[in-house]
Amino acid sequence: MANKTSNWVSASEVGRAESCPHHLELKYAGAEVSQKAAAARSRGDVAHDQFNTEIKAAARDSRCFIASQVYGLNDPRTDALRVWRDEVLMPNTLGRLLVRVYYASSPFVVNACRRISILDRACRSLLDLFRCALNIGERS
Amino acid sequence: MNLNSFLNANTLDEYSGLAFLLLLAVLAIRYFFRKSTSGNNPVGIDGDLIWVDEGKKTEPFFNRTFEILGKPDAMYLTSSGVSAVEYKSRKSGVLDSDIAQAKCAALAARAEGYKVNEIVVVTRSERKSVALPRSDSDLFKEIRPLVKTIRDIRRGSKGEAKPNGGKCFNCAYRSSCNNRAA
Repeated sequence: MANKTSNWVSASEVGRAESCPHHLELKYAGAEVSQKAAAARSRGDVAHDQFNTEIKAAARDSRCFIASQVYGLNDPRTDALRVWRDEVLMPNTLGRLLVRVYYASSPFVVNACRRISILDRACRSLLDLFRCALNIGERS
Repeated sequence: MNLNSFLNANTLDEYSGLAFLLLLAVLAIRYFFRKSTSGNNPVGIDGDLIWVDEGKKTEPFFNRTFEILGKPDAMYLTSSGVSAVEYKSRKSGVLDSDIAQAKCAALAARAEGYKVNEIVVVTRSERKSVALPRSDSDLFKEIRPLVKTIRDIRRGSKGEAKPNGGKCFNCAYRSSCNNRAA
């Protein structure tokens, strides 16, 4: 899309324009890319892949939400609660504060739920009640 | 099912519910007296990973208003909005060009519904975060001179050379450049 003739500009070109506009002039003129640069690009791609793998692995480890524990990670009720979080809580200050408290407390609650079955049942009941009161998602 | 009928259904164990509420209150107090456990991911952002670049198979975001495109390396939903991450595998620090690139990618992502309000640029030795203007037009103003430069060069203008030792040494067009420093 972002070729020589179109008006579209890519983020990497913006970075290049800041670094050295002459680089872009040579590129658009069809100058040959050095083998060394091509190799460096490949190394960069590999490093990016490693980085992406790392952050995805870290994200999986941090999935510690009570709803995921109670209903399951991909349950429609969990998804409905996520949507409610993003659409209702995140846009306002109090909502964001509540989300922060939830993030801070959820790992502890989830661990406790895994060990104490009565707490797991209590969480489920409370979440059901909460969803029902606010009409979030469908009850099973 | 409404709230009353749900309560009448007697599904909530009163004692366990009370215990849970007590536990939640204790945790809330604990939260206010203890720093949140942030930074448990490679970029040190306290939030949920909501988007990640999977390489060539991931399409960039397109902002049709400003005709710019790009994709951050990752995006996190934080308590204050969305943080877009730009990762550079080099050992040296963050450059202005990295920040400009990240701003452009963030503006592109905004057009497709991600309310990016912060960029985080990470290299192997440095991490820099920059707060973004609230409005898209204000954000575009910050990269507009660069976008204009690119369009001018495409139309035949000369691109100013900014020679620098390390930069020129690693440049893909080093052999074709008469302005190189190294």
